[in-house]
Amino acid sequence: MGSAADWHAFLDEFRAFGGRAENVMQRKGAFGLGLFPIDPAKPVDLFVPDELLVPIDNLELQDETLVIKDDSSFPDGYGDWFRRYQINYSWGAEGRQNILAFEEGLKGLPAPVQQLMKGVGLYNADNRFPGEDVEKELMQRFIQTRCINRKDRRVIMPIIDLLNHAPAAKAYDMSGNGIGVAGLHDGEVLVKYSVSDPIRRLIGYGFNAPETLGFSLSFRLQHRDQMVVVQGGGGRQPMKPCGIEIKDDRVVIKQPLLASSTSPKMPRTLLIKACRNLESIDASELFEQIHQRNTQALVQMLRELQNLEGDIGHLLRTGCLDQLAALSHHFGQRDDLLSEKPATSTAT
Amino acid sequence: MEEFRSYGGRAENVVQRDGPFGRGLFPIDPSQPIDLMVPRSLLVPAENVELQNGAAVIKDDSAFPNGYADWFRRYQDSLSWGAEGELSVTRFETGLRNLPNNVGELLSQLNLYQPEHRLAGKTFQHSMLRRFLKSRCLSRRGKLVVMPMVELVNHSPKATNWEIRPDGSVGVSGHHDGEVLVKYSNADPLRRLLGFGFNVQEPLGFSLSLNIRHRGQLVEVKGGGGRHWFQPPVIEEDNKRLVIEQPLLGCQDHPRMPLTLFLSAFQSANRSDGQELFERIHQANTLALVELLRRLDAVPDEIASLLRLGCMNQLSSLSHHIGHRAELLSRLGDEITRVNSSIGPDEPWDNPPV
Repeated sequence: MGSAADWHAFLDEFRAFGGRAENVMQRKGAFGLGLFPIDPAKPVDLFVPDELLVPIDNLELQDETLVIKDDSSFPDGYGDWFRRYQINYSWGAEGRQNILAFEEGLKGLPAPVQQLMKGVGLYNADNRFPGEDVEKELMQRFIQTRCINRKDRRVIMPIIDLLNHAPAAKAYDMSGNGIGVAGLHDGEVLVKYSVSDPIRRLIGYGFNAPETLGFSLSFRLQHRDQMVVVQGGGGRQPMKPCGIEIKDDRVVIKQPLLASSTSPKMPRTLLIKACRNLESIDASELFEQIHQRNTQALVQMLRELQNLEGDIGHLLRTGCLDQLAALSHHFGQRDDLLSEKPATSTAT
Repeated sequence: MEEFRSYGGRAENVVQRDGPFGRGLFPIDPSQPIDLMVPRSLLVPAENVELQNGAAVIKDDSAFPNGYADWFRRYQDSLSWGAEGELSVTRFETGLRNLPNNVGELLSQLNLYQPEHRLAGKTFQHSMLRRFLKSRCLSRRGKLVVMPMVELVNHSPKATNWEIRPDGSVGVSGHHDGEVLVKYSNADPLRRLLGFGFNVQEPLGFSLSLNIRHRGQLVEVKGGGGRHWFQPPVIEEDNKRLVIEQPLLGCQDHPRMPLTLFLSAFQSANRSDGQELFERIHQANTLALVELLRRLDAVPDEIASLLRLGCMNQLSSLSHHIGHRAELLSRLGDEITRVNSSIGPDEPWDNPPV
């Protein structure tokens, strides 16, 4: 990270390419490096036009620096600006270092913890960080934490990707010809990256956040006479019934939402709706079975993590506790929605 | 043992030694049955036990056989209070007292730990003796009694209860492959820990004490266990608040029963919001336990470690609730009467078959 003068000069270049970055400064905050308003009484304005978004398949490492592989479709000089941006403010500032510390921490977890996490679909070291080409693997992890889907492409959004995440913040404004964040901010400028739950936010991004939603972990369970496969995960439109698939003699439930602190009656309602045509399933009872299995798995992880010292132990314990808290937000159901014939997604 | 037998007690085929739960009783010959029995005449009311020069003795021995009080003093000194009882209860209570303020406050708020009640003796050592006796006594007709020899048996939630015979004697008998174990009482993991000083994965989970607001009404949940679980919780309602006493929230062996019992209580009170409130009480319990674990996370003491494990065991026990038995709701009263009559009013609370 350079001086304030360097920062402003750098933003001037960004503006020259068509971007906007007004009333913001990069500095250390509660979540590490982030963006803050220079004058909190005035709105910030960040905008990356579509032309400056960089598809992730057009990125590569050159001399340990993240660069645009082919910059022919970008304005003259943008490739060089992007390289300096990554060195001074993003990948080179603390991005690589943070990813490395987190991945090494995960990889160094005791075998029972790794087995548990693998068993519930949270983490598999062999796939995620095999250590065969460390720099490339770190770059891939870094990109995963910084990119966004835009017009069927996964892209990096310079400057805006410096913003930190808060579950209660607004999402990116993607309504125009680019991606923006604007408005008044008392403290750090924060944005909601995506729909997720606490444990997946931690494993995906390396930090804890009290997410308002709770999705299931992955496992199989016997529900009455029916084998049920629960595919865990989030990152989907949460207020819609989850996907259901019949595979051989198993029912596959895809990413069931189990809790929502803002709409606590919706999770059970949505599962009941999703399972309506399945005669072998008592959806309400299955909802509780899935909850039980999630609690058991998280408690087991906490047990295994009890004596683990260091940052990763603390991060994971907090993640499990945040997840247990998030999963607790469910009570009752919306009978009014269940009596409707066509599926709708009204949340209360 | 010979002396104990001479007073009318029985202690056959058992020896005291260290096991996985600390000191306990083991069969000398596992192929033979053990037989432990304290006659009613040798049960000592806890209020008749006091400290004399640091030893636990019978205050007034006029109701006991000649020499029994001296035997009891030597028994306490060498096998019970003086063996490791005082040491372990003191270590546990001192640990609780030294927990960080924010942990103590939350435990107190949840009615899990009230130092003013636990340490109410005239000296700390007197309080320790009372705590110790509470963890070793059996409740008989509203009175706590000390059961010499039999109280040396450790607890397992899977074991059977003490045998209480028609003549008032208390015992344990039968074949035991390993350590002789009994089920002390119905409790959940956190209350077992706070009451007895050890962790065990109890199959039941009762609510903590907490207040919640449900559909605009204040709901006071009185937490606890130690009751016969196969009963709907008592609920009382006035225009301002609803009071629910000791709701059972989780039951590993009968996961449909907690909600069934809860709904039964609500049905009797002509309320239809039982299921939603059951879930809200669960939610409040989870959030309280998670908060307790957060506050304990960086605390390095042995007691903090015990409490963390207790909270995790509690979360696990509370998770055992799935659906309910709709067909049982209409005839639950008859079922309860039938089960309760088979237990007998004077027996310790046990898990009946459901």
